[in-house]
Amino acid sequence: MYVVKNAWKSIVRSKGRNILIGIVVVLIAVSSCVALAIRSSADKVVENFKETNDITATVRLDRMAMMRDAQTRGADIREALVDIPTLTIEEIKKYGTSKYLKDYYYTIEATLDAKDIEPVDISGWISGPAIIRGFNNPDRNQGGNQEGTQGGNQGGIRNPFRDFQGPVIMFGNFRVRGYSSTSAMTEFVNGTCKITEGSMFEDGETGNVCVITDELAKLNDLTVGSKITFTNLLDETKTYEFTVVGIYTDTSSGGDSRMFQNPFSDSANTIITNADALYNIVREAQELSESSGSGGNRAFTNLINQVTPTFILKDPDSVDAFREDLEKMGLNQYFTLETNLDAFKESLRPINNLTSFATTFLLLVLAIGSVILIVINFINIRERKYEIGVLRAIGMKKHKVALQFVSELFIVTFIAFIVGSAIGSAASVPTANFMLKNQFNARQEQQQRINRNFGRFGEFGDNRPDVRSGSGIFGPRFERPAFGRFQGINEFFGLRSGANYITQINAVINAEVIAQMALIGILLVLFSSSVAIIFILRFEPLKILSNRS
Amino acid sequence: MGILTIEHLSYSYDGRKKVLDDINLEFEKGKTYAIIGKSGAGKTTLLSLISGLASYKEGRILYDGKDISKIDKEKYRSRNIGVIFQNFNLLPHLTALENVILSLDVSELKIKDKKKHALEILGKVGLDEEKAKRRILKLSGGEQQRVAIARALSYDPDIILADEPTGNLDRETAQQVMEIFKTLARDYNKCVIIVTHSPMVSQSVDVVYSLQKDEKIQ
Ligand SMILES: Nc1ncnc2c1ncn2[C@@H]1O[C@H](COP(=O)(O)OP(=O)(O)O)[C@@H](O)[C@H]1O
Ligand SMILES: [Mg+2]
Repeated sequence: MYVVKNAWKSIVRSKGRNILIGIVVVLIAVSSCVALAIRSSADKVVENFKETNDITATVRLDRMAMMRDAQTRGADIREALVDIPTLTIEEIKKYGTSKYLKDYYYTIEATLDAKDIEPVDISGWISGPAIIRGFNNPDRNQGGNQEGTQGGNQGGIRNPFRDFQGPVIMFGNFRVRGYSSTSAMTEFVNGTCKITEGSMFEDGETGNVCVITDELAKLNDLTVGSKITFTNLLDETKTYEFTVVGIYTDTSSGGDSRMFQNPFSDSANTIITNADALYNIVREAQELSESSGSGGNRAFTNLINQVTPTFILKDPDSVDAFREDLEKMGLNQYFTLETNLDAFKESLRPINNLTSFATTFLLLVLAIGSVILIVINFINIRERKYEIGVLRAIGMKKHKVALQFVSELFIVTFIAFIVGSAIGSAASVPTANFMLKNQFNARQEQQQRINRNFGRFGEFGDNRPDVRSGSGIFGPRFERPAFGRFQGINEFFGLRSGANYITQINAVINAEVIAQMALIGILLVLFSSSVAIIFILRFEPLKILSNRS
Repeated sequence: MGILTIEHLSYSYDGRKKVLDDINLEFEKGKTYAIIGKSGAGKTTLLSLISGLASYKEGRILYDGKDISKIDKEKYRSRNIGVIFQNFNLLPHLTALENVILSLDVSELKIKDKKKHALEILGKVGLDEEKAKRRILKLSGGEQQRVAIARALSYDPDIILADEPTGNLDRETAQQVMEIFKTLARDYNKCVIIVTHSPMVSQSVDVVYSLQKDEKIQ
């Protein structure tokens, strides 16, 4: 093919011009390669992140909304709060069927007393049922309106404060947690808690088995196989026998024990069982509570917010759809859906910023590069008008002349593109990580600023006060279950801000990037040679006879 | 019937006064022709029409009995007719040899050794290998003229068209060039058409046509 041969000769002949084109193309190729590699790798990272990190959701009672509503109705706020709607396991199972969910689990929490064992108690409080009067502000339940007392033991339904006005709520010495699935045991998943003896019961276990802390075991001389007999706070005759199948150690326990004003607040007194077993006890207690009186004079036990569901969504984008689904399925209006979507999005923010930066950069480089190439080619073609005329005059067909010019451009672009891509692929990994680091640092500084604003001691990545030991039994405890997995990974990264930032990217030149680069290369050649093609197709060879002397 | 026939050919540059008006000419193989006329008479215009670089609307030009406006003009230009332009139209950054080879390439004729063939032709017009490998810019006017002739001859066309081939040459060189043309007609049976205003040329050709009178002078 003489056209290609001549194109090559022509390239060699006019080195200056072609080196200039080559440099422009190399720069375009390097930039595009880096940008594309970053984009594709960022996509992979996001994909991978979405696969390994779940969007988890839970529902939470909006007490403020309840109070507001009661106020506008003119009803007694206290009383309104007594009739707090509760989630039942049946309800959660129903919501669990939503098509937007990948999985779901739930935890129940209750405080119970046990006949034959003593709680770990270093608070100096007399052990026995704690009684809280009046309406309970969960955010202040460590505050002043909490009283401890020795439980009466008259048998039957006991309400030691029956002479007082208002509802009475009683607590046992042990915090019993029932999990519907071992996935919900985030402390075990992330390693805060570890079984030291025996083993955790299997998923699907519904029997009366439990796992206790090593401290509790030591204090009461319990081993795997020992029995614990729980009692119903409202009726001591009702007992439930549980078998210890495992003993665990909680590495986060200890700390400031003065905070534990009630034994159940001490993590050492936490007993883990399955949701079904605990639910059986809770249900009976509820029935007893209902029969104990009505309105403001009822005796309560256990928990009000005792069932905490965790829904794992299939897709971050279906949060709103799931919320609607819940409403359709009859979720009480006072429950709101809470997700870790913000933390999830926050985690992806640096990488998303990087992606959009890479895209903008790519488009800019391509636009500027194309303009430069068109200008160079325009000048080139004007300089070579005579050559085109001669080629046409000696009988070369238009399309062949055009082909020769395009070939020249193609060869130069091709070589420069290969060189540029090679440089680009070598440069993409450090560039990507450098840019990601900048993104990350920017977010980190922002986070530190926010922390300081809140007077939090920790710098970014520092420990926050442990949610579990601090918050009372009424408090929303969603952070742990809902964000549990997240935090597990955060801890791995040494970050505990809820958001798990991606700080490393493995920019790679894969088939996709190569294909995209090839496309860019072809478009560049077509784009810049379009000037030449148009000129050649419109060229009248006669001109060279009259225009030259 | 000659190899080239011009019938009632008229031409004007986009709507202006006619440059050529009802031209009728006949050319045969084996003869040399001169087309004479004053400057601006339309000699170059006629040549561009014959070579297919310009297209006519009135009259027609027949090559081997076929209307050239209806045939593949590029093929016609690259194989059947060799044009030696007034300004040569060689590619200045190429060597003489490369210019000739380029024409051979364009003609797409099956020639085994194009370089050898091109050197032979250049040799015939009086350019040795050393000169053949020089760039056009490093050759004299007369030498460039020879390169243009060699290029026109390289693909062995039936018709050789030359626009003022001796215009810029000294008398001696002009005579040498004329000798080449005569040889081409006599020994190689080419139809050689020379556009000129030089009496020396018109005296040494077989037939002279004047554009002013549209008539055969000799
Ligand atoms: N491309 C052109 N456009 C318009 N007029 C032209 C063009 N080329 C030549 N002419 C005009 O046509 C006439 C003939 O020109 P030309 O054929 O070059 O004459 P010659 O070669 O005999 O000197 C002249 O008047 C010239 O000005
Ligand atoms: Mg002329």
